[in-house]
Amino acid sequence: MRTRLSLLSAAAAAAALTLGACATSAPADGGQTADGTLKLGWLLPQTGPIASLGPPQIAALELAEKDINDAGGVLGKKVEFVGGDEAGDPAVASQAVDRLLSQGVPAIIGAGSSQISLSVIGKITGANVVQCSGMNTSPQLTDYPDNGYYFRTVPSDVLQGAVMGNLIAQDGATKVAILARSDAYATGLANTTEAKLKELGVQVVARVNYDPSAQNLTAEVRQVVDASPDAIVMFAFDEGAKLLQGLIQSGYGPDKVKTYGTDALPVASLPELVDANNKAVLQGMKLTQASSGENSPFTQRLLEYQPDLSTTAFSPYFYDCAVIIALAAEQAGSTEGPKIRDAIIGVTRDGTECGSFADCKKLISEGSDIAYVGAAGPLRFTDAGEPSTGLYDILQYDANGATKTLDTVREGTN
Amino acid sequence: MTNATVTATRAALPRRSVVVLLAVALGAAATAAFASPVQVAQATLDGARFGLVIALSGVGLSLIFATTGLFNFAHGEFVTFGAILAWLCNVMLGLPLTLAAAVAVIGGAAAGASVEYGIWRPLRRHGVGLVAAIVVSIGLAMFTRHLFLFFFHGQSRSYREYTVQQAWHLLGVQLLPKDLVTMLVALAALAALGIFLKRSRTGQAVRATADDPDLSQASGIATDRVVLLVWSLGGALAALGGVVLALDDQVSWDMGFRVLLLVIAGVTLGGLGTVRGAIAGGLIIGVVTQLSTLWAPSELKYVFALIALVAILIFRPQGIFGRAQRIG
Repeated sequence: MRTRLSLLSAAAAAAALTLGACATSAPADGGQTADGTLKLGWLLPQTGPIASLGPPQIAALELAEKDINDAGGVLGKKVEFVGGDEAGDPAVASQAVDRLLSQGVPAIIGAGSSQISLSVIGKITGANVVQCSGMNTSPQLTDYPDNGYYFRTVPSDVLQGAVMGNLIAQDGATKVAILARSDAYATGLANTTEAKLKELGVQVVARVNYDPSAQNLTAEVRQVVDASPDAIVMFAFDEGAKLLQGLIQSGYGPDKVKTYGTDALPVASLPELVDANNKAVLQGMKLTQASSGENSPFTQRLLEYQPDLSTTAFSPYFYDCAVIIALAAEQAGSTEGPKIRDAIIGVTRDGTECGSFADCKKLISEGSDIAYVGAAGPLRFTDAGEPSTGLYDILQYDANGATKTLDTVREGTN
Repeated sequence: MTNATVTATRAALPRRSVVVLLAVALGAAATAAFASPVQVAQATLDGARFGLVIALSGVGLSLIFATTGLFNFAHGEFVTFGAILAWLCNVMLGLPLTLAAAVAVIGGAAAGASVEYGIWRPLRRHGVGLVAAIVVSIGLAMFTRHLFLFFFHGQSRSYREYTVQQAWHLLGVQLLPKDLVTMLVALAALAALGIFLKRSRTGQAVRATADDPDLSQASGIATDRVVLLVWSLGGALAALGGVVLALDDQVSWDMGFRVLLLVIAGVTLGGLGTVRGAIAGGLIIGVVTQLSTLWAPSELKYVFALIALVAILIFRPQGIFGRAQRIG
């Protein structure tokens, strides 16, 4: 009996799922409801490992909603956001996406984590719904077969290579050694860094790609040391600690040569991982990371709007996601996913620059081509739907093993 | 084994040691064409250190195979277990690393004894075939590894002590004090094991069991106890291997798994069931790996170790110090 009951409920669940799927695949009505509002979705971290970043991102979207509606909405319709929790869990995120899709939204903003985005991108873009993230920096998303529906307002990690190259050259290095994990992320970055260094006339004396699954990396460290570089840059994950120990013991530590890395290293715990007895072990080492866009005029406005936020990381990028989707709908004269998709890249480049939804909307209504300059600066999307320019923070370790931001630089084609 | 073959094997052993050393020297000399003598010396020294750690980690695998016929794919997990246990004692409990290492070795022995007692002995009693047993060992390895991942998490960590040391310099070659200690500890442990197996009565019982389990049992050797001893020894030495491996290469949840293939290659090419074989095999794997990076991309370094394995097995299918009688 018990078995039969559970079978029945399983069948009922399956039926419900199928019905849900039908609802999802039913032709989207562009998120319009009878009362003339445009529903847009978001999928952001309310729980899970990056839950602390969720509130500022959601606040940024609320602010965008307010700004858009204050300027008369999109095509005369008020914008309204419906949300789902990505939860750091592909299964939960997937259910949240189903709920959003069943409400017929033409666009979903999110997810925060690249991993979660990769897990739901097929479902979202497969339903001809636009996806836009303000926090995904994984290079994997650049060429993802998303039918052109995936966008991001934060640049890919690959752009960081040029920042790194410039930084090393500016610091006066003449002989650079590059250590890179053999994976898509690190070799991509290492290639762009190497190209930039060569372009700037800096010699690359060693380029060592290492097997990420190798337990012992002594030989790789020796290869770097044998080239006697005056600057070492590593594109590594947590095995970077092992590499740094080897370099320090060979007399090529951050106290002797200029040392660089990226935020793929476990930034906060790295000094302790390298030497728990010496907090100053990495003093002077520099890191680059995609700027989270904090301390900008936008984030000040966001804090006035919602003063109790503990961080504003990545909030400008999410705001920009909302605005470019609204502008694209305005430009296309339609709130349907495919139409928005076709118009998004155009509103970010090659036109009259404008800095707010209201200004840009006015220009569109006058028939001008616009280039939206977002809360996080110019976007100038590439054909792959991501910025060709971005802001990067340069961090440096101090004697207490903490990092401080030395500089924030803009990188990319002008 | 007849007396004649015993004498022949004994006489052949020193000659083979010479051949191994010659081969290593030849490899180094050939590499010298591509790199400076200092680089070659440095790579050989680094390789020797790594090779001895491999030998230490793998000798138990080799003895377990010789006495039970089981190829224990979960052996890498003893290595990880030792390193994690030492890390816990050293960092969490604040014990000095030497004491933590002792705890790890005892823990490794206990772990070895418990898997034999709890898993392998019952399986043997029930007549589970060797292939099935190997599959069980693979499953056990995955289970244990992911248990480590769950409790230790994915991040690599260092001990509290000896993480960053000042290197000694000799004619341009660098040697870290901890690496010298690693090599001495590994050599001492392996030598002690060799002497134990050769000289002591229990050691002779182990070798007899390896030679012919049925005959040994019939002649009054408690083979079950011998096998239990071999498992504890194997677990203890692998745990010690893990402790010294992590001195340079950090503690991580899958460190044993990462070296397992090299360990298997080392003990196989050295000759399964022999301590000398484990040392020779480990050294060859370690040195070939490091030397190859002087003239080939380092992503390929383990490929050369495995080429060495295949090349040697083509000429000596039983491994350098292995006995031909056991094969075929």
